[in-house]
Amino acid sequence: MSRIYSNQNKIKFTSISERYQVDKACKGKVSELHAALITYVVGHFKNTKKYKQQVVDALNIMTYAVYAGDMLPANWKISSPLDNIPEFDSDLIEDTLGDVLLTVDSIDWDVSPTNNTSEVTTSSNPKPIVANTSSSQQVRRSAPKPAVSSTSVRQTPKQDLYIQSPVVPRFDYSKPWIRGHEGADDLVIYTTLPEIPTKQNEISCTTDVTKMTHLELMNLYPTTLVHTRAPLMYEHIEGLDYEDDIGVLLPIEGYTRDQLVDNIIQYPHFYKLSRMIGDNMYSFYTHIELDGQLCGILDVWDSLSDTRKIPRQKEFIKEYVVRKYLLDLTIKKVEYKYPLYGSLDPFLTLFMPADNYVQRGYSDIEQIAKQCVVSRVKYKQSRNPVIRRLDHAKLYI
Amino acid sequence: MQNCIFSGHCMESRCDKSCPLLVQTTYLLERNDIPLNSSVFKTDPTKVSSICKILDDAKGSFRVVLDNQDTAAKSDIITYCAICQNWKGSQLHCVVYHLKFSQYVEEIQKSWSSRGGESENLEYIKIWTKSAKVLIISGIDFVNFKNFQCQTLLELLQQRNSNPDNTTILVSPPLSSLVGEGAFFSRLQDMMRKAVV
Repeated sequence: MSRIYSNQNKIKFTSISERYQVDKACKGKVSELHAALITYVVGHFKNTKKYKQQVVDALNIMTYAVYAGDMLPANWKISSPLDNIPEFDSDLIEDTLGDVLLTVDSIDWDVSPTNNTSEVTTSSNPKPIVANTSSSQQVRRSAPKPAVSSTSVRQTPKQDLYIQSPVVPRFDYSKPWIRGHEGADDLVIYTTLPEIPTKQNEISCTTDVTKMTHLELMNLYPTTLVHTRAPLMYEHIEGLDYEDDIGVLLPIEGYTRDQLVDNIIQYPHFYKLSRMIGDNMYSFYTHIELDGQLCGILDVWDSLSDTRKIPRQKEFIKEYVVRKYLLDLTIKKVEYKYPLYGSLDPFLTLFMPADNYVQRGYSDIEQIAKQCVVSRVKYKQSRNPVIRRLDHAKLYI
Repeated sequence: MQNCIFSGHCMESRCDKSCPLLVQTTYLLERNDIPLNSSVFKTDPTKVSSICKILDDAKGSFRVVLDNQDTAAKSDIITYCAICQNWKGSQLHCVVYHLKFSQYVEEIQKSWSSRGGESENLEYIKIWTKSAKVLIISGIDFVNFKNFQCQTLLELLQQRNSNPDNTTILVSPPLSSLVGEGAFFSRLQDMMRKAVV
């Protein structure tokens, strides 16, 4: 069986958790396990065949365990992922993994050997671990390629940046932030905890940005660059422009490359966007407003001047519709008849370390972090159904 | 219907107090006697992370979590974290159940002298104990482990172990402080010692 990764088509070691082409259903879990291993190896790397083989075996076993639904043993710890790796029949692994099996030679080992055996968190000068592979010579590189630090940076988990609530929500029952009655319902939103968020996903309707200090605001930046756009946006697509760390730039008539990049930095993540059409709420991407007329996106997609080179795929269609809307709104100040439902303000998601923002010309990083909190609070408040119910009925107590 | 633990973060299109999220979490919280004024909702975030990790590592196995201060509070926090990890798609099944072992033993003993046999409450406890994806057992601090108590717990653990999808967490004081006697007690202690997190 031919393999996707070979010595002719290598995958960068630090990109494995992002780019490894694994079955979609398993992608999340495999990526999480691989990311833990990569973080560990970056801090403990030895440039020997034996060590590399050990790492490759661990990567394949992790993928196999997820594919086969086998549990990793109880004594296997994510903090020392090379210890207590279970033994599986190598033929079985090869058969199960098929074309995604990794070998030492199919990996571009973009890590430097280190003598450091303990993990160090570097926040003052973070070096993103995320690296992008590029076989294309047409790729523009306007930003310096992130280097891999010899000491590993504790990677901010992607879920810390989610708009959704933390998995285990916390709140103070003794502090109702809003309370009222409508009909037979007693409606309450309790003040969420921590009152001072330590991660972006802890920001809620009840967060008060004025209580946050400079340090607390700076704490919201991730330690490494996190890919927050849809995974497809980080693939090189022939005919489409690409910027390292930012991803694919879709052509949108009337806007320059710099404006596109700036817009992606300010709005790097779209989550559950919708608009009201009549009395009904629709996903924002199902329609596009052209000269005040609302059109079904699939009906007009092929006739749009920009979309000739853009793949007719869901993720690209979503990206195009929202990006064009945001550019029209922020640059041309177009007033849409069918605007987005709820607020969507800039810097809703901080996706790279503060230093990276500075390097890209966004120098007031405290203000940007503050904006992130304000945007998130507004985003959630403008969509919160409890606030809406109480607002309509003017029933606050 | 009580208020929602996610209300500060909620972005659902409407709140009619019947969305799956509210219904499923409320059912599991009520089933496990966790009211909204419980202190579990204020648990220190580092404790939450460490418990979530214990739950992740324990998937499909039996683990013993030791606590020398308040096993009841600890087991409530574990139960809450397990509910948060497992409510999705639970469809009003009791996927997380907190068994208070001393009360369970008491219920069994009461049923011996009852004319009607096992109470409905005991029947449900047995069903949930058997079927819960995550079972948290507490209350062993108050048990004098004689043969019957040991056998009941050993049998329960064996029953749980027969399903590889079951996670069983036993919250115990330091093993040396358990009260008991007999061959089964040593066996139970051995089994627990091997599973200590």
